Amino acid sequence: MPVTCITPERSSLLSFFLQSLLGRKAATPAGARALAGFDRRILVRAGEMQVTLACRDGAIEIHPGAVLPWDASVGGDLATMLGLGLGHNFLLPLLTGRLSFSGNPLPLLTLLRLFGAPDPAPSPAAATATAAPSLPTPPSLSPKA
Amino acid sequence: MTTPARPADAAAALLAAALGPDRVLVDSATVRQYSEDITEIPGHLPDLVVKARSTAEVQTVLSIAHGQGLPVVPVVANLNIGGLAIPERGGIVLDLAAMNRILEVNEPDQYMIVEPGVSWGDVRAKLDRDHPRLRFGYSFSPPHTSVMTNCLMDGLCNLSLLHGSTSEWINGVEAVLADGTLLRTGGGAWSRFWCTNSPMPDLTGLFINFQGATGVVTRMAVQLWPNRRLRRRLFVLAYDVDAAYGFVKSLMTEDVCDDIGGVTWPVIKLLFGQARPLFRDPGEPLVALYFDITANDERLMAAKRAVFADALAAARARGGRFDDPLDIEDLVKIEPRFVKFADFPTRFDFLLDHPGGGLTWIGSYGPTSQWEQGIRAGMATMEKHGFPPIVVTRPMRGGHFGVLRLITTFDKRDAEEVRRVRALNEALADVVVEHGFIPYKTPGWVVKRYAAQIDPGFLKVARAVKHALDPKGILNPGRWTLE
Ligand SMILES: Cc1cc2nc3c(=O)[nH]c(=O)nc-3n(C[C@H](O)[C@H](O)[C@H](O)COP(=O)(O)OP(=O)(O)OC[C@H]3O[C@@H](n4cnc5c(N)ncnc54)[C@H](O)[C@@H]3O)c2cc1C
Repeated sequence: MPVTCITPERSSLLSFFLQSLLGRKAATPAGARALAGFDRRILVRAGEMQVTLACRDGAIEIHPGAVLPWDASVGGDLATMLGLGLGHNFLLPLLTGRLSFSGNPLPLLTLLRLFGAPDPAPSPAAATATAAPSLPTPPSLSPKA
Repeated sequence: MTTPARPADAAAALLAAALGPDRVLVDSATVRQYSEDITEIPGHLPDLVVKARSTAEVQTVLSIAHGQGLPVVPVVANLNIGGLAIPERGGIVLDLAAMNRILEVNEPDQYMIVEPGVSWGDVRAKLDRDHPRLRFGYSFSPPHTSVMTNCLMDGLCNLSLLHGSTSEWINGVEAVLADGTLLRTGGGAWSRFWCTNSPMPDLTGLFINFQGATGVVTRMAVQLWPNRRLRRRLFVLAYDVDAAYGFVKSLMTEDVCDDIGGVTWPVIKLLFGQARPLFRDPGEPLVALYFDITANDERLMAAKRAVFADALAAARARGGRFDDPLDIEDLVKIEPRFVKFADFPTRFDFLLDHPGGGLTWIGSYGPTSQWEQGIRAGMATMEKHGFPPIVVTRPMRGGHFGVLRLITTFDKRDAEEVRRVRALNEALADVVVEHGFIPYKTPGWVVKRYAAQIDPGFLKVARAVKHALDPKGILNPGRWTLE
């Protein structure tokens, strides 16, 4: 597993969100390429939660809190950070002050490559393992209004 | 020919002759399987298990049991989370899972007629396939569990903010009394259309929340509603109880959301695979609120979204801290396991599939005016007892009352842990009752604990009703201290 949560029992939701996002991306060839030779520490803040990503040897460890020293930091409110994780454009939140960064920007660009839009998730009906008869794809999950 | 000595043996022989030997099960593995549920409530072995397939067979079972004075406990999936189908006094467990036909969907009059074994999954599949213009409400209960029993137990569903608890959706029932008598209630007692419970005297109520102690329901007419073309489910993460529930209350009385619910932080961690989350990072959200907004028309959807946004802005202006709304579809993209919150019916595997498999709760209905205090006291009690503070809330019927459900997962194989869970649930029952809430799907031990608080006139009449319908006290004995 290239992305692990260190001390999951002491971790915040941010750690788990990042583990899920980064883990799936890191498992792809593009993700593996982005991580190859990437040896940096990045502090990520979302609201008042913070975690440190220690990237090394093609893997990422997610540590709770701020682990010194870090090369770069990025932060914003949780919704903005999750939007970033989904690959939403970072310029608008940056310009409106909802996203901030400090330190060396180069590791952050690598991190952005590891975010991006993840592969499409399975449809809700397909992913809901049930003992009941299999359900058709629900029409009620409508296109965005 | 020798006469069987025990009533159970006599009943087993008569039932095998009437229904066929394959439908009457007395082997120890089977009876053990029906002796307990996934809660901490002690189990008890039945004498035999009978699998019925029709109303006539239910009548046969009850007539024979009545003749022998043998208890009968009806059951479908046995996931009521209250010990309500544990055969406390032995006898027959009557498994109705195979009575699983949706007998009618009346589209113009918006109702369906179901048998006891019809599940949430069955209803969803049927409506999607044959009646996409109609919808039903769904609980968080696993897809294979019974719709009918949920309705008989005043369940809570994703349309309960609009339409109340599921018992309010019943147009009437067909039921078999203890001696085999068959009756119909509601509009179906007179008309060939079963579109309403009114204006008949409300005999349907004789079977609601009696937990199978007054009769075995074999058919139920239950309401459906027009489906909506557009649906959004938004999550808002909140950081304190007062702000969160202030926001919920500001929306529950508007005609904006089909459903509003809240789950406390451990639920999200359970979803992420944490077995027993006890640690909360101080920066972490406390409550995840979700809001379902539906419409058939884009303009109406936009208007509802605007009211929703205004309510959130107002809640922030009052000093509440909230993250921006997150669409469930985005959450699923971030973490596919969020799909469990995306659509119904759903299976919360994180509550069910863990070592020891124990799941229990004190679920209750009560005044939303007392929510905040009740939630805080409930969470504190759970933490004090060393369990994650898992709380689920939902306003019901336009906010006239609300759900306060305090959930615990545990290892049912660990006797010490089971003992701790019993102590926890007693303390939690005290918490909800002190705050004016009433435990729903009320377990027998809860009724006994608070019997002195329940109006004596109420209990007297409830017992008289039980006696009138089941003079020998054979139907699910132990419920509501009715015998
Ligand atoms: C993970 C999980 C989540 C849940 N979420 C919800 C939720 O969101 N909302 C909610 O309301 N509930 C919820 N439940 C509770 C419960 O599972 C549902 O109410 C479910 O629909 C009950 O179905 P069952 O087949 O398990 O009923 P059973 O447990 O088999 O039966 C329930 C009661 O009805 C009696 N009974 C059975 N058949 C008959 C009959 N034909 N006539 C008369 N009495 C009968 C039984 O004796 C028993 O007292 C949840 C349960 C689980 C495990």
